[in-house]
Amino acid sequence: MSKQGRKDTVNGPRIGVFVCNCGTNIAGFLDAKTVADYASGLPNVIFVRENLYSCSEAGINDIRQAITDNKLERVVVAACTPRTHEPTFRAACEDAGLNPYYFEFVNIREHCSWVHKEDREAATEKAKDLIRMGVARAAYLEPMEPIIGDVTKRALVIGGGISGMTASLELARRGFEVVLVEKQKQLGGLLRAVNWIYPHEKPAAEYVKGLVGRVGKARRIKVLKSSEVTEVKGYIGNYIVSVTSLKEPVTAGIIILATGAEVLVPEGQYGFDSKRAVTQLQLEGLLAKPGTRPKNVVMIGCVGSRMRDRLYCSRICCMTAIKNAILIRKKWKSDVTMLYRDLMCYGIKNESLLMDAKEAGVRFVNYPDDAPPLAEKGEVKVTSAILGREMVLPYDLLVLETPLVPAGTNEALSRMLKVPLDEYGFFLEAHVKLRPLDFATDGIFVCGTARWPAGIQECIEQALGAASRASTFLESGRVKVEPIVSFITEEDCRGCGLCVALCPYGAIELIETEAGEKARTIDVACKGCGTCGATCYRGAITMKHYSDEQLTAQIRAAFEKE
Amino acid sequence: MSDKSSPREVVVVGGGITGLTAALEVAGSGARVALVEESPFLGGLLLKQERVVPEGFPSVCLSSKLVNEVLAHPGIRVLTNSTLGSVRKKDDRIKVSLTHQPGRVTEACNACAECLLVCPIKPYDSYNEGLMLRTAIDFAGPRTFGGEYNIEKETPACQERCPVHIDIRRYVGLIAGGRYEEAIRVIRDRNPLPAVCGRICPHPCETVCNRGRQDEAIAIDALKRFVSDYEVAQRKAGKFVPPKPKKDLKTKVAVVGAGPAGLTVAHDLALEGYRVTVFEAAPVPGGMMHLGIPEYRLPRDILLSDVAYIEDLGVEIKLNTPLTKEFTVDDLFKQGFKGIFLGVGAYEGLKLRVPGEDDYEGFLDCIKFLRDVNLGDKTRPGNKVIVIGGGNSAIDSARTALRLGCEEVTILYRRSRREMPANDWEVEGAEEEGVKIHYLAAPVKILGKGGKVAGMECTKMRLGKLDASGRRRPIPVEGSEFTVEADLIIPAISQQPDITFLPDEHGFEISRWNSFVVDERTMATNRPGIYAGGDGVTGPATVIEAIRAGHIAADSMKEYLS
Repeated sequence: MSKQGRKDTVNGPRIGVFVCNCGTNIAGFLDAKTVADYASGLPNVIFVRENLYSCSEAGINDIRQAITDNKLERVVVAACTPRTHEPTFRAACEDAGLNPYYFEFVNIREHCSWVHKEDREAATEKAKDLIRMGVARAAYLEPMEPIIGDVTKRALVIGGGISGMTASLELARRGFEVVLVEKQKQLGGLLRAVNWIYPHEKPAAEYVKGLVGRVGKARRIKVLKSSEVTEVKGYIGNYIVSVTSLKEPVTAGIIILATGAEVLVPEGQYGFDSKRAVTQLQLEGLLAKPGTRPKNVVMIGCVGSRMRDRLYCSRICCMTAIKNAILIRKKWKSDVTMLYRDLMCYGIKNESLLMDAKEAGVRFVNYPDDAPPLAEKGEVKVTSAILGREMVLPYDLLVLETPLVPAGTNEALSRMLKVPLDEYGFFLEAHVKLRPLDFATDGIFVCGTARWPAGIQECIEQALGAASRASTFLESGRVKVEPIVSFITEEDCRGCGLCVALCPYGAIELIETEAGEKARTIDVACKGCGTCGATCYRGAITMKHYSDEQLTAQIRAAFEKE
Repeated sequence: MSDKSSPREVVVVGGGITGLTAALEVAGSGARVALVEESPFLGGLLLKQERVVPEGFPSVCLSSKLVNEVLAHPGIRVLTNSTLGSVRKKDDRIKVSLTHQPGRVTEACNACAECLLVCPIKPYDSYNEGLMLRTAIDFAGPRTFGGEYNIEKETPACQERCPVHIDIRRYVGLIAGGRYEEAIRVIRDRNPLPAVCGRICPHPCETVCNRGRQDEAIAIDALKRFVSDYEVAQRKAGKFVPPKPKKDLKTKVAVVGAGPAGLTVAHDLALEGYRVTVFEAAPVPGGMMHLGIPEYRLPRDILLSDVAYIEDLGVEIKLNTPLTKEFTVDDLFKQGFKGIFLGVGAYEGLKLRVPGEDDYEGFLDCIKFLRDVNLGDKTRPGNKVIVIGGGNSAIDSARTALRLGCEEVTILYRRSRREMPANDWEVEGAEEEGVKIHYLAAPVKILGKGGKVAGMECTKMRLGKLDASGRRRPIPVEGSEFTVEADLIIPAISQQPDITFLPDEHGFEISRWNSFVVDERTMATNRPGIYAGGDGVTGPATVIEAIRAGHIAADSMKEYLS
């Protein structure tokens, strides 16, 4: 008979422990039953339950039920990462009438079962340790209430390309004021250099013109051209942004980042000279102009992408090349050969465009990864992966398919906005699936090629999505913020200002009091990172939910092993 | 969505990851959301996957997070096990009707899963492409969210097969329990002519009855006859409480033809509160039920009792009032009728198209024959009668002729007994009465003497391969000719609508069989506000099929008129 179940007499708070199997994710690599039995012997623990999936409806109901039936005062769930499920379990506690901050999350999946797959016994022991520490901390948890802040009903959109313009128009349509900041003299971004857009064979100029016209006419959108963001202060609901063209900073409730990307310039590759060897973007220009009529055109795919330092696929080059190849066949009647490593034509319309290109007489030659083509003196030498032998193709125009690369301004913006970049320098969203258009920093959203190479359709989708996300905050005018913030005890503070200088979020200010200058936390801005708390030599700063008392108890428990 | 007014409630259809996310976003910006999901469970296909790409974490992390958030959101109503019915737009509002399947498992379920082990019903497992067995009691797997357990009920075979889907199981059960008034209400819910159908319905429901596989099908039709006779008796005894319309809508509707289709439309619309006038060409109500079906099959007091029920609802039936070239549908509109239903039937008999047909006297179309008899002309039509055809009209004509004193009545049918469309019990009855039936025989030419029919030369047939109707095609056997003496020939080889009443410029779309062309989903003709159904659309068919058409027409007329 298992020791799991309830026990009635304790001195401290009544703690319930839930050990999640996560299907086989946890239970497959450690002995969850042993762990649960162990937990039931820990101090103050009066209830233990093992669940197949704690996050499932059944699991959540179990937690709620247990809180009510056993009058639980603290809940410890030993499961996965707080990133996905901490809100779920906190909500379960709240539902059952328990303050959500009486919940303690112990990660026995990422921190234990997944990293110790080879050693079941050690993993089981470690899970016991982690739970013992969690239970120890849980006893000292304190109730908290969420912080409510106001939201300025204005959006700042950085970047006036297709994504930025679309997002601005959508927000304006929903009734919000928008300030649109564009670095260049004109709106339109990269799309201005494009001739035709796929898959609908529509002149890009027409589309851009229409969009720019609508942005210009929208009375709720204020467009700032030739402008750059120089400083960002504040927090969700109340951002204060300095822009070069304005004397006064702009206040905005939310920020949408739509700064786009740049096309890689393949300096020194394949004889790139912007004349006889050009990029696809330069080809767009040539196609738009009368005159040029090369006899043989060769295109080379994956120039500068899917290689050692730039592993990613830029996703749009293949389709751009196919679209341009068809245009060349129609307009110049040239022979077109496309040398490719792989063709990325996902989606029905794109796939059919590839068929159109083949019908139009575009020749496709697959070259192997390890033998890229060589271009010399008007000839490309390429090994056909299918024929297994070398082909020599004369060319009058060589078109290089280069990837989109992060914009040069990304780093500066990332520092200003306190949002991260990925390994290549693109902006990194909060969660690839759950929060694809959000940043981890609340109130800032990302869309378009600033995030990752994307086609026009995807840019529009993301822009509409980001606008929708943003308007959930703008609509309600209020924002709920996690109360895990720092708290400064005024009597102990000497007003030295060290914490103010170190706070990465600008969340501490010095205020004048009768007893002199004192530091004070701006709750809505504070991210609870703990930098100030660790710094304060006066011990005046307490980190809520991570107090010394709580952490000390946890650390002590780590070494209390019998 | 306009800038100023936001929608009061947004319906999101689909409870997969896309639908869940959309619901959360919409609810996040302040609107109320109704999330409609066909299956009993939220989470979609994702719920059934083990891992998600690209990170490979358990898909449950994603789906459970979204599902729990949706379930906990006060602004989202979750409607699982529900399908979208009609979507209607009125002004700026959209009205959506839903069908909800009960889950049939109460909250007392504690997910012990014992039911799965004992369930004997194994429906097709579409998720696993039929590779595995599932059970009628189902849950989405150990990761169940928001749907708990659920028993999937298929519509019983009899109800599925019934053209108007009467809840047969229910009324048969009620009759078994002696609850006759409730039983008749269940029937009347879908069938406004229960007493009629209790006698003459070909009851396909019994053909598919599962009990038939054991021994004999439940006598569904006889039970219907029994319980509707009970109602007729109640009516005669003055104990019958006449039905009342739900309200008085004051809108006038015209129904042309008091046959089963027309009467159904009149019934449905009058019940709803419309003021219905039925225009009937004949001196009696009932259409073919009165003019075609012999009294021995359908006693007239029974028929008139069903008609009286409809008149009780306030329906006015104007007899002897045909539509003519002088009294057209446009005149009906002028008289203030807002909607018109044409249930004109199919009264024109088709010709045999054999030599001699137009040369001799002694032909009597079965419809004219039956009509005259049913209206009281009981004169003996001839001595030796040949009826050609194998449908119920042929049998009716033959039996009626015999009962009027004809010496010899012979039915010629070109296929075998098996292919005969007439009800088996009618054929048996005819044979018992003394009607001779020549199977596999077809007319070749008419023999005459002195300008009158003297007989018919026939040929024997054999059955070849299946034709378009799914029956074996009859092929003449050469040299097998034989002669049958007769002084009267009654062709009963199908009918088509007689549309000579329509003025030249009627504007209706008419098929090459002289029938009205309608949209099958709504029974709407090409002229706005005018609907049609029954034999006038399908050609000769059963009463129950005409009732079905009447229901469909009435439903769409309600929408049209509201």
